[in-house]
Amino acid sequence: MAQPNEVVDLAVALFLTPVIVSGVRGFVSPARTLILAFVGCLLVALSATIAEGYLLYGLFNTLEHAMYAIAGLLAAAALVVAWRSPGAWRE
Amino acid sequence: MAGVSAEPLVVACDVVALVGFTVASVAAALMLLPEVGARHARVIRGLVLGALGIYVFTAFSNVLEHGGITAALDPYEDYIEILVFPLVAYALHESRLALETSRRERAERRRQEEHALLSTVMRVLPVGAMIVNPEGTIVFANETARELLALEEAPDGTLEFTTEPTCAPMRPGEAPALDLRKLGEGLTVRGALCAASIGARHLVLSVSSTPIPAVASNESSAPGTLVLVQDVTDRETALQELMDAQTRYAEALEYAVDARTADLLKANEELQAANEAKRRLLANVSHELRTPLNAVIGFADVLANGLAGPLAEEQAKQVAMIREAGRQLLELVEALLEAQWLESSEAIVEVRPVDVADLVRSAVDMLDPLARSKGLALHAETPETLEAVTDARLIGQVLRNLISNAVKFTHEGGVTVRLLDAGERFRIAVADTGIGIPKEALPRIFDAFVQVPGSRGEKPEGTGLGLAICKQIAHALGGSIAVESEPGSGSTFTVELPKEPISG
Repeated sequence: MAQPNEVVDLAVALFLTPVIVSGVRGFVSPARTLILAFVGCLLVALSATIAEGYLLYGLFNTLEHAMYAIAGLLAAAALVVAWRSPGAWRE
Repeated sequence: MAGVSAEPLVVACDVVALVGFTVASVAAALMLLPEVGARHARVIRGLVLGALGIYVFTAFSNVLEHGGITAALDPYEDYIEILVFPLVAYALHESRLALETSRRERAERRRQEEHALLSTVMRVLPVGAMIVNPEGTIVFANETARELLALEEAPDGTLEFTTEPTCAPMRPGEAPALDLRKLGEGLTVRGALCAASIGARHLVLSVSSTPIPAVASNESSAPGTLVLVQDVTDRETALQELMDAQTRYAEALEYAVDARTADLLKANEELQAANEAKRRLLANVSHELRTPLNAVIGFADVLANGLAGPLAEEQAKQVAMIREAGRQLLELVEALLEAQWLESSEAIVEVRPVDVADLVRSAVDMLDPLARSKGLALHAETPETLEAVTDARLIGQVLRNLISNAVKFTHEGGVTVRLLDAGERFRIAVADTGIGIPKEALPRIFDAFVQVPGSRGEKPEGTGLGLAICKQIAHALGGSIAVESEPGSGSTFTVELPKEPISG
């Protein structure tokens, strides 16, 4: 069964996703696409966390951790790109 | 994420996530944010590091849990994971706020720089500059304008004239250039000149004005009109003095030209009178000479023919000399009369349709015996006919002069007369194989009384008027005459004449 805090995590994430996407799209930066992909991976991971409590535990559990791993790589890539391109952030 | 078990794939993913989020955290800590201020940069970096730190913690907890070491940290994951999205959203919001603040600061800085630049330009500008608002009030004036127009500051901060100036337009039809009401309404003028009286000063002002465009955010309210005023008294005074000097110079020049023209007219009249006197004298003398000359030649003929009785041999020889001298003198007198006639206004060219080819052949036939007597061949090369409207008598005279000259200066060979059709003109070329003309004599060969000595320096027979008469006739008929010659090889005289009389 899904735990209440996991559901709250997903609800908060879904509520703030439009705000984040809108915010990211307002910038012109080479890291923009990477950040959007990072957010997408986190949403999938949160969803898989809830889904594993109901069905196909092994698959969704692996998917959750794989998504965190990809999100970690995307975050690293996004921030390295941003770090190497100082001044690239524009409205 | 409950329970402790070793799942290699999951553990591998967790390790990758731990490494990825750790690297991201290091990059975030090192990342420069030059576009935003230091405070904003600190806040943004803190928020991003917070979000990434949560995932570093979660990944580390997962590695411990799924690596079968401990699940002690697992309960805390879910409580802090809820903060990630708000932190990211806040970081983005802060970034936008920071960029907006930065942009405003830059715009404000640029505005202050431009204001400082404009203020400096206005202050040092040698031209008076002022702004008149739509109500016709001067709301700004630089130092030059204040001094030039005697402006003083009113209690409400606007500017007004110490004494109301008058400014009469200097060009007809121009509006008064210092009418503040019209200027405030947006009057546009370019360098309007006005004679201004400001207090005790009398100046010439050049006024230019243009409405200041309203800013986009406040189009309903026109800021007024920019007016530039320049003191051009010195320039206009110099210009006026220059124009006065120019007028005086033109008048003096005109007077001098009139005086000179009168002198020249007088000199011309005197020359004409002298020329007329010379012509009359020459004509009278020639005429008076011809009559007794004819008598001398006639009586010499009578004596030579024995009509007055037989002559002894010596007497006959001396009478022949009298006849020859008389004939030469008569030739000279007649040539002088001809030249004089051509030079005078009495010369009338009588044109009629003639066959020039026929004229050439006739002249050659006439002078052929003379050429034969010297053992020379005289040929004519002409087309069958060549029609022209011209004076046959004058052309005949030119032909006789040129051919007899050629025969005179040719001792062996011959003389060829060619007639060529050249479209609207025709050419008569008389070529001989005679002694030729030295190069230095060619430029004056057509002058009157010029005779070129022979190769042994002997003076040629004749009056020296033949070629001068040919040139005068050619000009009278609207044509020209030219000569080409090579000493020892012969000469070619070419006359070019129009087929139709030239009008005017």
